Amino acid sequence: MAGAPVQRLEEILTPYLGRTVAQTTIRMQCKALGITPDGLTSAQVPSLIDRVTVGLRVFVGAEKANQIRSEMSSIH
Amino acid sequence: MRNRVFGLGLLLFVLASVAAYLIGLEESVLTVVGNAAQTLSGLLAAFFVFRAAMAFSKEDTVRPYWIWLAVGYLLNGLGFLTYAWYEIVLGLEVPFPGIADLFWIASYPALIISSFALLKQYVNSGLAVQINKWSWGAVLVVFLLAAYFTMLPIAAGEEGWLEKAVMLAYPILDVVLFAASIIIALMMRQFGAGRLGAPWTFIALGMIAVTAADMVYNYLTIEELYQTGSLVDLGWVLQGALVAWGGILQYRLVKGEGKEIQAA
Repeated sequence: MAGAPVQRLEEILTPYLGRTVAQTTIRMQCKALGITPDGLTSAQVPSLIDRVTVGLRVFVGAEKANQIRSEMSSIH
Repeated sequence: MRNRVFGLGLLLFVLASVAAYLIGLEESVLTVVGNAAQTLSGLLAAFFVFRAAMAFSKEDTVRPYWIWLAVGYLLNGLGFLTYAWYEIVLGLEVPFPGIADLFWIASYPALIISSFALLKQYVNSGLAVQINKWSWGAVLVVFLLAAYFTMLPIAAGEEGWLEKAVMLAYPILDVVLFAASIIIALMMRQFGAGRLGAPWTFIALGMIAVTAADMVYNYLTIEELYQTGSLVDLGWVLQGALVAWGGILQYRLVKGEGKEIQAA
């Protein structure tokens, strides 16, 4: 089972990406960072958020992506 | 709030257009109403897609592709405007190939290139969306239908080379545009209830509507069954309305409702 930071990130992303894509994106980006969602530490969360934000920019633009980033950053 | 008003306006526009086709207006009246609806629909699509493009900041890599998408719909709308000008204002038979065809054919590269460019950006975004393999099957089916019912009969026709080339260009370009739209539509379905998928779902449906309308129109023309005011004309009205609504949703996604209410 994924840890608390991952669950919070999923909750924030789900209204935008839907549950499945939100979960898969987090897993995919964790893998790219060489970490597992279960073992994600507070120190690793900003890197994960950065990677997700880059993807969001393509769909919603920089301004909105940064708003979502701020929301994600507030979890730790 | 403003976007909801735009959406309601679009819905009323589509319903009024459908009603005009279904209540059996006199042919001359329907010609005017149909041409006006198609022109307005195309120009509305251009306007709302351009508005969505401008919602992105200059630093956003997708902004130029959204602008090109708007240019494509502007050219499409100008094609309908030119056609209407000949048919209604000048009262002449629309020449083929003519200026309207020039606008319509020119709209395809803008629509196709911008769609595929955006698709590439989405695939490489790092979000877990991917191309659905069924898309290629759908493209193959549409290609075979277009080839059998339109491309082959046109190629075997007795028209001059220019007429034949222009007539063939439509189904070929429609299939390519359909490819872009079905790939994007099925990709956006992966977002499920997520907001990111909604704008392109409608834009892609609009593109699919125009492919369907063009294919039926080409078939009816080949069989000498087409008349202005046929129900197939609604496909072109619907395409613009769907794309315009997609543009509204994209704008709302980028700008957000909250900010818009503050601005209003």
